[in-house]
Amino acid sequence: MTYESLNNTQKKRYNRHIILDGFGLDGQLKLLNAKVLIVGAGGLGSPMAMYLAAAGVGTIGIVDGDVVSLSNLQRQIIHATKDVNQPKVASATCRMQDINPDVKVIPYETFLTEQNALEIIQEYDYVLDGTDNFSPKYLINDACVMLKKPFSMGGISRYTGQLMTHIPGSACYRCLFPEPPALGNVETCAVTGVLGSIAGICGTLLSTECIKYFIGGDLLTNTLLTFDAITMNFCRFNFKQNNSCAMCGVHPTITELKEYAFKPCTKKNKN
Amino acid sequence: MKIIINSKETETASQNLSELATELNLPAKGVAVAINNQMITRAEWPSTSLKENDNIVVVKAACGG
Repeated sequence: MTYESLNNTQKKRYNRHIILDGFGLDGQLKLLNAKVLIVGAGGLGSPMAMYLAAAGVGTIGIVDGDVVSLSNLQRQIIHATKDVNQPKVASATCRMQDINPDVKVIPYETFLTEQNALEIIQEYDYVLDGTDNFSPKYLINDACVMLKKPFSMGGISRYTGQLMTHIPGSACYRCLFPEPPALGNVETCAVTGVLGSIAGICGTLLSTECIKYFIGGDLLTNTLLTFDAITMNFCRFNFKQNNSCAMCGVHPTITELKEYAFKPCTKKNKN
Repeated sequence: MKIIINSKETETASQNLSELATELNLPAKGVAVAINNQMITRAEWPSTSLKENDNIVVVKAACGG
């Protein structure tokens, strides 16, 4: 795609990017040619999908096998009250296309599994994690490292959030957290509650990472960013690629995708 | 010695990060520990000495989305 191929409507729609120093037409064309996969159409996935659609990311895949429930609407802003009991990818797709008909949305009405992860992810340039449990987070990490795909991973809990970015060669999620916590130590939003607006904070930071991957800028590679909405402290922690990492270390012991057994948050029709 | 753990001033007898993890009863999985904003891998905990006023942060992996 070139400037000449932008129609007048697109030139107007993306004007604030095109005139932006450091973004410009080149940046906009990169986004329009980009293919991004969002895994999870929930609290994090909602703002990511809406901002990436608005920004003009050319192809957006969205993966979620769940349906909208009433208790989702406090933070999952891509869905509306009328969408309750409908597939999340259906309402998310409609909303993204309403925001920007330029965007090609590819919905996957399924959860990410060890069977489908590689096949789905390999079609994309960048992966964003917006899942609500550790099983798909580790699947995304492992599949992306195997396929040499960049990704950003996020998580929220109560009043706090955290995120990191991986590009091939940088530290992966397992360098930081080699294994998920024991099931008894897992705090899900369904159990502990979560401040709805922090899904927006974390989700918009994640989508900003994705946009910067295409247009340039320092990414949160080898870095965990955490924030606490109670104190409004944002902290950056450095971490290194771990040579003994089971996934990306010198002698990886994980050579095929394997799901962790627990999926505390993925029950259909939960209230 | 006096150290700071998750923004709280704390007195500890632990000499290294491994001893501190035991003292704090940290779980075997799902937590990362930073000293002065540098994450320390678990393998390095026994050899990582604590110093007066070290700023320790224990980060739990968050899975919500």
